[in-house]
Amino acid sequence: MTTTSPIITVEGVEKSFGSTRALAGVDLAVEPGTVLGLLGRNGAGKTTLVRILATLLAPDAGRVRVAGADVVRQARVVRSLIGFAGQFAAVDETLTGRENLELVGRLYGLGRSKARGRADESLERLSLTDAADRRVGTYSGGMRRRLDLGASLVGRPVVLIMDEPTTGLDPRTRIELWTFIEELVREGTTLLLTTQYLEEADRLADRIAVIERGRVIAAGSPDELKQRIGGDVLEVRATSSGDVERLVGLLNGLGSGPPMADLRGQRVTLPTSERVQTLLAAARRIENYGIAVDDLSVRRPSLDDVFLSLTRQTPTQPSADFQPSQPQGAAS
Amino acid sequence: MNTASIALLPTRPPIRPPGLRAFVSDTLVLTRRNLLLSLRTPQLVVAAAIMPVMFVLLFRYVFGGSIHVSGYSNYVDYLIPGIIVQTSLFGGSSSAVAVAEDLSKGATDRFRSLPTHRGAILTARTLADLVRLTYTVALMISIGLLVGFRFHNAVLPILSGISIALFFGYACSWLFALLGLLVRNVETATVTTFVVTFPLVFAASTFTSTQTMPHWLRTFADAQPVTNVIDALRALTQGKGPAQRPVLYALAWSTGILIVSATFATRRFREA
Repeated sequence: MTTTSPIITVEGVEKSFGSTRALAGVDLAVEPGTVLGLLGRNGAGKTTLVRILATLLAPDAGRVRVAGADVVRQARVVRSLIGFAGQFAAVDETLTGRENLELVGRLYGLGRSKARGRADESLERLSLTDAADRRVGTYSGGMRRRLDLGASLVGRPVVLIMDEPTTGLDPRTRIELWTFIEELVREGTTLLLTTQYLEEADRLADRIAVIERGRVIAAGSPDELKQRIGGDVLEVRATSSGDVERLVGLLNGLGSGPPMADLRGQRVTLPTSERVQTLLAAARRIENYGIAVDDLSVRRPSLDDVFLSLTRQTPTQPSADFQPSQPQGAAS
Repeated sequence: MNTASIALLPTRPPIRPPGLRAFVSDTLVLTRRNLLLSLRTPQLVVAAAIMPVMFVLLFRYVFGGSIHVSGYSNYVDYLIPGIIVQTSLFGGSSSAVAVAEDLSKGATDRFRSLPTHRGAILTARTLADLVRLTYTVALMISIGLLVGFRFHNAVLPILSGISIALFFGYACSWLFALLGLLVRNVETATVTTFVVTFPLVFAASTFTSTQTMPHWLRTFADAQPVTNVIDALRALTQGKGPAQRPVLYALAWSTGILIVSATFATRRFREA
């Protein structure tokens, strides 16, 4: 291991929009050639941070540097070094794929033939050569995202910044895009991506920063984060959603932490360091109380579990996806 | 990290130098992009021409017979300059919609995350509109000539008159670009431009003399830019009436609109 200096540094960044505090002091560092996954739900502040990195917004306080250049004072330098793919596939529908990429090349200051060469290069890497001369309006959603990614590669960036690159894509297209991203990273590009999908962060990221209400509430490798939950996870799936709350009360005190309810999945999860004992104890209680369950198992923790256990510690508004609920009758 | 993977790190790309060269190059590249986008949306090109053509036909053949303007034996000679300036104002208003569209669809973010010259983005937008406007004005003149409109002056004043109308349209595209930056939404932009342009076009000497209007309306009509630009264009294409005052007023209004709008739009764009 040689020590390298981080290629992205974020220090004490704050940003408010009116009275809404989008970022409340964020610190991050990304080593060159690695992938940082910025994980958080909608409105956590991910996009604001990414827009600051892409020089589209100036922070109210704090410093952000990319390859040593300050994103505010040396914005021009930063723009030459980064590739940015925003949340929408920002490609022009009435232009062809090639025209879109040539346009981007020209805006990097490349001459006409050089821009064309780079466009062809990008199209080929993203397997779009056959569709290059078709208008983007005829592309599928996945092709558009690929073209958008291609556009951010035209400048051969040192740092690639992607805001929710696979949101809204079908599973197959998502996996396809992941493969492209992994290939880029193998060649040494540093990548910072935001995502709501734990699976995506788990697969692509070397390090993950969990962001919640404008703060980084946890950071580490996916494994480190999973270890935080301490051992394994007991999972019970109730037959009827009405029993979820009862199960939470029932399992309280059996594991190494409080049980958590996932109302939508009719599931209750419980962290445990003693897998067999906990499983047996849980099974006995469930049987004694006569609650019908579809499934009862112990498994390795997923990032979902980590995310749930991290975000439940900060007071939050209920979200559609995750609704960490306090166990009822916790003291009993 | 070991040395092998360090060797794999991409080389630092060259930093693009700022300055006039970048501005000119980016303006041209983006103007071309904007024009291609409109050219490939033929329904927009046609729609931009249909309304003024309808106005020409409506006022030439339906209302024209009962409108009498002193000094003009042929109403169509009075009408066409009005239509040209109306077209200039409506033409400029497409900037608002296009700016809002680029903002909401992420195109502006993409351009701004690249080492694009910031000033080039709005300049290219207004230049593309000027090109479109020139095409629509040429079309209006051709239609005018078909329905009996005639120039009654020398070539130089005629061209100056048309240039004044185009300059006014260009200044207005900056105004509408600013509007697009403020509303950021295509539908709102469409409605707002209509609300802004409607009184300017109709409380003016566009279709008839302001002399028959009630005093309060006439005061507004005579002072506002559209009347002055139309009067300047009429004087220069028809060789009738005093040209100096409306020409000066038209230039002063257009320059004022241009400077104020471009300043605020540029500032707003930096913050948007």
